[in-house]
Amino acid sequence: MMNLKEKNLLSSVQKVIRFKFTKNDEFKYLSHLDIIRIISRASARAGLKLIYGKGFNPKPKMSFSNPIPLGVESLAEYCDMELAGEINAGEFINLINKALPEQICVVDAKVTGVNVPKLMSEISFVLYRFNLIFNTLLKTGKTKKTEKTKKTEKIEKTENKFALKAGKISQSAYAGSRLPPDAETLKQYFIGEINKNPEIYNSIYNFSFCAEDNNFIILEVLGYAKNLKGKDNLIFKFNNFLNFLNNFIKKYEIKLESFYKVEMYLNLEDKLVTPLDVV
Amino acid sequence: MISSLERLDFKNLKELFCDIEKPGRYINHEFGIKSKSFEYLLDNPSTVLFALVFPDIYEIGMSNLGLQILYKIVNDWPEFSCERAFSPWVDFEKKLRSLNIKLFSLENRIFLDCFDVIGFSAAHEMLYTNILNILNLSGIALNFKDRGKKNVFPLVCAGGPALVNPWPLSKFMDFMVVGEGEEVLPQVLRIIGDFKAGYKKNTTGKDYANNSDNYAEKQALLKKLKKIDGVFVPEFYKVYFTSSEMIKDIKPFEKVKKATVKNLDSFGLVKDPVIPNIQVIHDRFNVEIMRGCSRGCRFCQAGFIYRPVRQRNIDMLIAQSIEGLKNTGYDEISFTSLSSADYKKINDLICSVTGSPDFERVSVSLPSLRIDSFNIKLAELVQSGRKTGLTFAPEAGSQRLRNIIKKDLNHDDLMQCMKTAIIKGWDKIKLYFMIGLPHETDSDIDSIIEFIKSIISQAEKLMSRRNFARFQLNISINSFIPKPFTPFQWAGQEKSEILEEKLHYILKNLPKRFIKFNWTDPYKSKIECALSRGDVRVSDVVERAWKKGARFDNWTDFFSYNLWQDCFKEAGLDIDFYSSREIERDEILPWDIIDIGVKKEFFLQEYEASKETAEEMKA
Repeated sequence: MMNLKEKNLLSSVQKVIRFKFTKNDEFKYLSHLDIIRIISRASARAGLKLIYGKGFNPKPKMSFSNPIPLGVESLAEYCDMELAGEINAGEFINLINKALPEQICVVDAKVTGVNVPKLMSEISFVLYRFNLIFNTLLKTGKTKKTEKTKKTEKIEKTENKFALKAGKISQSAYAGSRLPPDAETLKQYFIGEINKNPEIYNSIYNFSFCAEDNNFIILEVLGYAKNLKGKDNLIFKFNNFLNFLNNFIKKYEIKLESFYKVEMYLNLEDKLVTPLDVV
Repeated sequence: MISSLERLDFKNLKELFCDIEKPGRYINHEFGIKSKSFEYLLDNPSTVLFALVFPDIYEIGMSNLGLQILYKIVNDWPEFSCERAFSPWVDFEKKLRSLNIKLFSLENRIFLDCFDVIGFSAAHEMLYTNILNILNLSGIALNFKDRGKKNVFPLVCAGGPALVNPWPLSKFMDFMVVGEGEEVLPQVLRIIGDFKAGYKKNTTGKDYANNSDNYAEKQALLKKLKKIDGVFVPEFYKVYFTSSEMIKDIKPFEKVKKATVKNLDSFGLVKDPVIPNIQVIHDRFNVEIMRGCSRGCRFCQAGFIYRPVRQRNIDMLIAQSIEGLKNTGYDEISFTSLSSADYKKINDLICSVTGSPDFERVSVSLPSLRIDSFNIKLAELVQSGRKTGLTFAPEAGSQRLRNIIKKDLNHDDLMQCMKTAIIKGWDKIKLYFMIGLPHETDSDIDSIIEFIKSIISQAEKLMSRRNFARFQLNISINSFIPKPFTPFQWAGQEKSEILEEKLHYILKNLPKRFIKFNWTDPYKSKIECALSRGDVRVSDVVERAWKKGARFDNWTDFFSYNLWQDCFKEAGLDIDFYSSREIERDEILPWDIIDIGVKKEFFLQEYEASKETAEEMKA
């Protein structure tokens, strides 16, 4: 039997580490379970002392943010991992990245207490980025490598959902002229379309169109990751939205060049904060 | 590089992987990749590019230790680079064909036809059609005669245990390797590398379409390769048949000596294997502790073709196992061999590896346990981690038949062993049996049933009621296949109809509770038999079968006996000639051209001895 002192000692060396990692390139084709297996094996290789659950076939104590759809890259996946022994975040990042293929890269980590909100249940919003490119440019062979790591300005929570919910914009003005619209016009069309599509409309918290020079447009969509209390929102279904978007841009000589998950947020006292902000 | 290196762009994957089951099977970047980078290959065009192809799905191929061994050995050389490829699953094959994309390697997604050498690992005969399918998907002509006109490369070769009888693939392979690949493969690649350097010089700037020089150059290269132990070049042999379809002569009758590694310890363990990204069949750290088996069971091909028995040094094993577990992060280690409990210091080995506090959670598996060498100590050692099932192979139900097949273990030992396992708390036991063994009678079949029933009643006696409710016997029944290089190689396989009856009889007479029953289709075993004992003419059948759509013949869902039957017929051959026919003692066997290290006289002697045993037992 352990005495109380020993028990306290034990809990003091037991740490939860919350970390953010990427899922890049070919690894977007791996399932959630594959990623869990890869990370737990990498932790063993890194010499980290994982804490195991009980039972016939004990599993390491790790909890992950919600699975991302197969085929989507991510800059922000999260995991809480229970570890025995003293370790700081910097050391952790260093050790585990050496043991991981570069497609999974731990970019940030914090040591937390055992009582932080669970990842799966607390994440309310998920931010995706879609890089749009004009077809006319594709033909000239001009391509653009969008910097994935580039920081975006945080999307501010707006009082009035979709402040730009201007009335329905007639598309007839555009019809006939096959010229690509500018970002602002495209945004108006987009609003028109989502207004017609309640399933998409109700699953989006906010979005933004941003023109990167005159040729590229970045669409960022902040979707609901769960049903929020007191709101009649729907959960953002990535593949549904992707279908919607593909149908939408088909009309405008625009191509979807790439897309990926950028960040996940919790809703803390009406502020959007990342899972690492709350630690 | 003769043909420039072409590879599939990352951008193409999106379309290719759309609606594909487990795309993780076809992607790269596993931990532990050893091949050279694409940039290195472009900068160093003299590098010999070797595609190591396992003609089954990724999950099975990546569970194969041989693949990891050869992958490492080749990539350890700076002048070679080895990349892997596997059989695409049927959905992916369809996708590749519909998009007109050739099959590519995992690591750099280089199209297989851009490799210098493509080497297939043939673990068993039912993969032969997959091999042809992969060649076709890569845009490579199946028959060696149709290749080498435009270009010597890629050379196509094969190795693996099934190829101790190389003839059924002889139409397709430029050369084959019989025996162990560790020493042969680098020798082969070295010769090819030297050739490549000269070949490039000779042909620079010319149009080599239908260049007759290519044929001569290829012949010269194959002649050089042939000098290496284990290398068989089908093109250099001609087989003559008698009017009654038997082999009259093989010319020249120059035997190919099986390649054998003298000292296993000269090749360390693969301590840094490629670790699959997706879940594979055996997702664990595999350690080969011993090669060969000293038992000499008369039905067992592996027992003869992997001779002599070579045990690895225990101190090296311990050190390298520990290092391997640390490198890989695996929580299971498997000590593999044909009969792991026969390793002299098996207990010490397990204790030393799992005794370390770092590996508290590591479980041990011994894939092939011998009943007679299984003991309480070993049982306790194996169960210290997670308790996986126990597997034993009594093979036959009666003592009489076990004596005939020289599976020397007696009934009392068997029962004692089952008791030990049950007392030690195993509630899942797997047992392997064979039916259709030479001299088998109906009472031998009854013995299988009785034996299984008596284990259940033992379990009932020894287990608490609660545990007994969980008790499970996995019974696996295979049809006996007389294989080349065994004393039973001359025996006729029992007719599939009779084997099916025997299976039904066993199934009908076993209690349904506690038993999970699985068996192989006797008709499938018949084709496996015909392929394993096939001669040069059977390679025509394999090609016909592939053309008719045969793939993944080992998968019950895909195997079609009718298809194979038609193909034999169309090739003017009789399946029974290769399967159920008892071969004459004085016949020239197709595999007589291979020197496996065990004399034919010895096999014959053993075959006669089995008959004598049968006679004695009758008396």
